[in-house]
Amino acid sequence: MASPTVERAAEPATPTDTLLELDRLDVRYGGVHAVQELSIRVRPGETVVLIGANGAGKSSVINAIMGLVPAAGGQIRYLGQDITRSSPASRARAGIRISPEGRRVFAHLSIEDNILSGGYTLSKAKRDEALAWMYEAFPWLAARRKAPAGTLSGGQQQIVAIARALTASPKLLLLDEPFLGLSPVAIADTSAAIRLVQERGMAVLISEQMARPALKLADHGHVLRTGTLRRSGTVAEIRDLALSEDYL
Amino acid sequence: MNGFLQAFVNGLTLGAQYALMALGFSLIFGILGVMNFAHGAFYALGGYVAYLVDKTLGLPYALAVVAAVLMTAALGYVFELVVIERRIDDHLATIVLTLGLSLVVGASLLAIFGPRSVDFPAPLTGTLRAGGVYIPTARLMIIVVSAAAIAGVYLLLYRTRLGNALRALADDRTIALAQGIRPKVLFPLAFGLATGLAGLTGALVTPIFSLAPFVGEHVLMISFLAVILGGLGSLPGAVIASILVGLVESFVGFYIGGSWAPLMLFTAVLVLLVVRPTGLFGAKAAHV
Amino acid sequence: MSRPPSTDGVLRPPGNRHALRLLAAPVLAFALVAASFVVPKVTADPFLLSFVPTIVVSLLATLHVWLLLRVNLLSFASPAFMAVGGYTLALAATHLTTNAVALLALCFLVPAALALPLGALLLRLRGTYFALVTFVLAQVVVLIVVIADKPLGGTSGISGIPPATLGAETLGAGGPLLRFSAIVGLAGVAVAGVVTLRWRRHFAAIDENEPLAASLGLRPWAYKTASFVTAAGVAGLAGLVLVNQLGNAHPDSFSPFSAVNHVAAAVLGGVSILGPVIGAVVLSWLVHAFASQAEYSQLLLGATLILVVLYAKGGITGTVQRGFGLLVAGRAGAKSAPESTAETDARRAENLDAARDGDGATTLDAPDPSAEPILVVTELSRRFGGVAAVDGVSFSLRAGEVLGVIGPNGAGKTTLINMVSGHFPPSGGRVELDGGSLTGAPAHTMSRHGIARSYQQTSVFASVSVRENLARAKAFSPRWIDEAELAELLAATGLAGRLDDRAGDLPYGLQKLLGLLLPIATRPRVLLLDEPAAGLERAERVRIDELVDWVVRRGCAVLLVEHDMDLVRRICPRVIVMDTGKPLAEGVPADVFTDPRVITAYLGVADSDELADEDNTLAVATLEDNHG
Repeated sequence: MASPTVERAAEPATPTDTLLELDRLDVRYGGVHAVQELSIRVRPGETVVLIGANGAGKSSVINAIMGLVPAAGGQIRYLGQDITRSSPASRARAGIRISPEGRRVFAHLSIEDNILSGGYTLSKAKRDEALAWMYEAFPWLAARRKAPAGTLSGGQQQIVAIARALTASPKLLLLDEPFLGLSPVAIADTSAAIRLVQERGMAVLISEQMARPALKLADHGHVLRTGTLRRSGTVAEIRDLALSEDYL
Repeated sequence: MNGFLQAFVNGLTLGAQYALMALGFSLIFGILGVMNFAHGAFYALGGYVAYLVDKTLGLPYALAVVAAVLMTAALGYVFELVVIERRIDDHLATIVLTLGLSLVVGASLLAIFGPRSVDFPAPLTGTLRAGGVYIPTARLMIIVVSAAAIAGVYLLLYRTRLGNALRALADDRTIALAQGIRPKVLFPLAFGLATGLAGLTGALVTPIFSLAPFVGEHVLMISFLAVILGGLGSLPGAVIASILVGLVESFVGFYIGGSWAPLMLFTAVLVLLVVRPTGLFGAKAAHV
Repeated sequence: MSRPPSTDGVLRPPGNRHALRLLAAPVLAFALVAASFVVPKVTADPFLLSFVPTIVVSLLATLHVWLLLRVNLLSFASPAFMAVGGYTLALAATHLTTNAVALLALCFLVPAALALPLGALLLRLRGTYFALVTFVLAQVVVLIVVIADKPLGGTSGISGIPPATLGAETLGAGGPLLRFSAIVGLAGVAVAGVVTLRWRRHFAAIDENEPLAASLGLRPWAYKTASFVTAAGVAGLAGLVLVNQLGNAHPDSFSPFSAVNHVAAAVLGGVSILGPVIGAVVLSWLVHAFASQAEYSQLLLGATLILVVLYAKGGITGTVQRGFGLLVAGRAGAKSAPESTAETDARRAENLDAARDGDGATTLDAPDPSAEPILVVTELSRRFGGVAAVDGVSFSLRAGEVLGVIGPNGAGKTTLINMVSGHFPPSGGRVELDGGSLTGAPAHTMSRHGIARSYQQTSVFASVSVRENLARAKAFSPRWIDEAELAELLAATGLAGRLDDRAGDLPYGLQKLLGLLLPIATRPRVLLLDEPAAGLERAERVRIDELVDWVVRRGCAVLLVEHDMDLVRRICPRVIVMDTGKPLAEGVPADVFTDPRVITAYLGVADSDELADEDNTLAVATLEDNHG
């Protein structure tokens, strides 16, 4: 069974079963062809993982979906709408949020302000509601709510970055290398946080080099190498393959 | 003892004035990364707008102050939106652009009001007598209004959604954008807010000092000092350093006299910039 | 027809237009001065008598700003050094001598000498901070003058200064003053012209890409200091002309805010050395034309400044040059059609086939293990904030050895290169070359000792031709290879036919290869390559093999950070694996790639509490099927 998503990618999207669709996406920067004609899709409530070694183009895909790097070709469709040219801010308002590579929490802002910054577009009531949920899910956030986020450990910062992305209850959560540089314990904590997101019915697109813990969380997987799709399939199918071959 | 208290009150007045200026200057640098060389021009403009409304139109002084704030804020807003925004990432270019604006504003004031300082008497003339010390009411008003304005800015930045967004922008512009925060909307606002503070300072202070087209230059210079001492972009640093600078200027002027105060301050700043560019109060440079 | 790379004169530019352009200003100025001697009318015109010295003061002060802009620094210190020059004249003329030549020398040398220690301190800053510090400096100088009652006259200044003399002639008024001022102006332009012409490559490289220039051996501080010292001396001459004309030295003449005019004139004039001349003339004319209404000249100046920054970044001369360039390009359009690249493409494909057929033929033999290592790195560490980016990495390299460094994202590989190449100092550990310590040495020192590096992103001087890139690197490095070898390298990178193309216009692959060629051409003893293959097309990757082979045959040791594992397999007999800053494994690629710890570093563990053993065995089995 080859990759069915790739074959169907060129067909027009039907909003009911497709949340996000990349159609022959090209990304270039500094002259490098980082992503070449990539076609994948994410259904509502589904978790999809992009795996690959450094330089495979995973982060470029995530950043292109958020609009932080421009697409050089192809289309990005979200809820049936072409968003290829829209700004990151309007994508954020439409329900796409990101936990970026390297986490990039607002280092000088407190934990609470970081979480609230994700709810810039929301009403006060909605922001408070999100905050309450976050504090319930991660009690240690409440305990240290006034601490500047820059003083936290990498694993704690990752949780703050995910919490910030969740404040606005997005439809699609993009996680760019959430396990990068984390200890096994912090990876387990972050995985637990991602499961909470899944329970809420949000769709998640994860780019990750650490394929094993990422695949544990996903429904579908895509393996990238030097900007192109090497293989796609269900997690079971991906797990049956020799992943290290794609890295080393 | 009497002299000491007098010098203290004078220092506090100076400090409050510098703090308002430095706060705005720091706000612009912290959030936009722009060194606003026109900040002194906005101070002078604020003074002249207040003068025009108060003396020429004969409206109440309080209204004149409000008009000064609104005018300077509006000019700052428009200038950021139309001019600065297009070269926002080029530090040297923004310096030259704000220099250009400072020339334009200064020259316009010169053209309209002439080179001589205008007669803009302080609206409050009484003195307050407390324990053998006479405090002019006008100075007290400056201290109170400045304190209120600083508190207002603090509340805006740390207690509101807008402030949260502005601080997020100062920290990481790209990631703020991914939260739906639009720098193109908020940068002009921040710039306008800061220039409005400069206008407020001008409207408050020029009646008791003096009002001429280039009065802003001296105040801008002192704000530089305070901002560098406090750490570029650090708001609490800017306020604390401003008050220190005001007190030092007043005390050294009182006890030693003449040009020694500025010379010592400037030399200290020169050394500090070279040795420790992040300022006296830690490593929070370039962030609000 | 393939064009054989010329073995001599690769670096000789096709024309000498640059030098001509730089010489144009002094020639023009000289002509003007000559005219002032020849035409008696000129020296009798009362307007010119006062206007020429004014222009000269403005010109010299503008030159100060212009000189520092050449190394990407914005200076507001012109009034500071003008004051030093002006008061030097006042004191020297009153107490020492009125000899014009002696005064000229003094007023240049005293500010320049003062700038030497000041530069050592201030030039550590850049950008906004440097601009601010010069502004503060100007203020400090005026305050010192005001306070120094004794020798400098305090707020009342020094008056009754005798004018400069030359033999029997007094240069204080009329035609002699005009001529003297013009000659001083000419001297200033000549000094600035000579300095910027002599070190034009150094200045341009600092302005365009300082890290690259330093990694090729350029000492940035030396050339910034040269610029700062010259600029101080030139501003001192402005002070001389001003004080000599006025006959008194007063603190008001050196207001810190007058620097704004000099910055404005420099920005207005633009990059060419004619820029300050034009800028100063325009500014002086503005001031003169609105003499009775200064506000209008200021208004015009401010508005023009804003418009120039927004719409004409090169200033007046830059805009004229660009317009002229467009005109020339339009006429020469047909001539500069790109040559066919079919041939080189064919050759590349051939190379690739050869590499495939050879199957490991390019793998280099391990060097003699008994040889002494050139580079010894011991327990190198670097912390950023509380995080250890590199933590206790040690390795050594022998001549001709290639060592691969691999590891997952964030392992600290680039940080390792940055420390060994001197881009930032390590927090702990040692770097030794031939037994001598180079720990914490700056990039240019590393380069001059023979530790060269390439960059992950393309790093070339994009605004100039490939030929000029090479010329710059040659000017910076004391270790440059000979022409024959350079020709070999140009052939190996496929750049031989593109020497006159602008580097920034080259396709990405060629830019990246140029970025590799530059450090290699500094004849390194140790070459640090940071992901040389990243972003290259498959056909271009084979060129990396060729380049590494080329340097290794010359006894250079190579440290290769790379994600293209096929490339690592081909050219690295030995690899180190790093993970979260620490060394994880070391050995021959075949062993390392099948090491379960290494695979876990890349793939992670399925759960923190269960190490999925079956995953590892499966992965290893398949890996061996494919590559074993």
